[in-house]
Amino acid sequence: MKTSKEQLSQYGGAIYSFLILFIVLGLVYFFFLPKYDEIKILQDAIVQQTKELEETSSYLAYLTELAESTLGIEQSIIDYALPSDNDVVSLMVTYEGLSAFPSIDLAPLNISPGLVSSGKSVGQQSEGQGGQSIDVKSFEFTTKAESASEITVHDFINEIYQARRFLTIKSITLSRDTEKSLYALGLNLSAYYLPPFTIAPSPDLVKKGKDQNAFFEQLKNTKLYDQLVLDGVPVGKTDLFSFE
Amino acid sequence: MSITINLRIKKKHDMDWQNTRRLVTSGSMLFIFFLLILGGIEYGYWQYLTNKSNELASDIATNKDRIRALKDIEEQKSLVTVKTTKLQELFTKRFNYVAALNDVTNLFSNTIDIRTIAINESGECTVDAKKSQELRIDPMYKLTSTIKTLRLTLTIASSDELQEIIRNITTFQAQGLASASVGKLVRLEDGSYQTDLTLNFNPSISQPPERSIQ
Repeated sequence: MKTSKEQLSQYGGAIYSFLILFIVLGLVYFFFLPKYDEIKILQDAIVQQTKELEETSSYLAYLTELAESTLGIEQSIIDYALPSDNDVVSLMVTYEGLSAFPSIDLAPLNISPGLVSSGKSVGQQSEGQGGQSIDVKSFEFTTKAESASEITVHDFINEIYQARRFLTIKSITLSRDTEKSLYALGLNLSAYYLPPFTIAPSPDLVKKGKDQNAFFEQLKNTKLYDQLVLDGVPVGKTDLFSFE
Repeated sequence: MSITINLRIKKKHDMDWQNTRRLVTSGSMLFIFFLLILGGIEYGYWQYLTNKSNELASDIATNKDRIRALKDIEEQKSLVTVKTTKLQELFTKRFNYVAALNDVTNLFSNTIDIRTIAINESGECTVDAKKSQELRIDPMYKLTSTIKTLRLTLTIASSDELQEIIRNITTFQAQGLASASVGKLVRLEDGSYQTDLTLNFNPSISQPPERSIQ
């Protein structure tokens, strides 16, 4: 009959091995595997967070830049090119500036009463906040010039397209005086405005705006005639006789 | 007869067993020690990642707070973006009249004497001209504008010239030219003739080049 000491001595190895195995399995199951999973989750989360941090930092930097300088410039450029109302003064200033183009004798601007206020919708309508429609309005006017050379006509068309107040030429008619090799020019022009609207602020729109920088650079290089035509008269008035 | 018991063999066997046990014990202890070190490293790495993630989350939250503070800028910029998009739409639709005028002159290789040209933004062009030489279209010329239709009212000296035009029109070739046809013929008071030619162009073939605001 073996004593308990002898039995322990005989099965001690097995118990010991079992204990070690139990500890190892316990460590692996309760510590290593859960921590490994957590590490994987954390690594993925860090990749996402780094990306999000880069995006938010870049977005924040852009917003800060806008707040400090760019937005004011952009607003003034876009509001001049496409005013919120039928800004007659900027149109007249632009027209007078164009009239000063050398070697062309442009007829005075003739806008019939009511034409400016009854602009018709152009382009695609889009929806603003609360289902409000964002709708560009246009009004057309005609003008003519006598005795311009072919090169002057080309340059003058380019000049119209260079004006800060956005104008499009709807149609053009050129009649040639065969004796003088000069052209009589008839133009049908369109000016535009975008009535005020509200829109929910959105990071997507802001980011889209960032992609419009190249277009803004082009707009920056467009021509203003304020100093040429008017000295000290502010542009942006709809009522020509108001003092404000 | 005496019995000899070899006690040395048992003793050697016991010693081997003890050595093995010692070896297994030391080995397993080392293994557990190694596991603990590994666990420590894993825990340390987990702790490092947790701290890093917390730091990033904190930075993101700070950025979001600052962005929230600039909400009015976000709102104003959104308005500017919408306005700019609208202006860009108008800008891309703007017809390049200078290119169209050049196209009309260059297409006929100066074989016509133009009296009037009317062009609209849809790309419809009407030209009234007098034939100065044998009417010819430059086959190599590629339109630089998006002219779709060119209606040419041509004054010719005699009906023979009309036959020449009808003969030539079947061989007219120009890049993007889809079709060419001769319309009515009118005899004028001075004995000359006036005929209408219509040229249709395929804008997808005669793509205009990229242009800027200027």
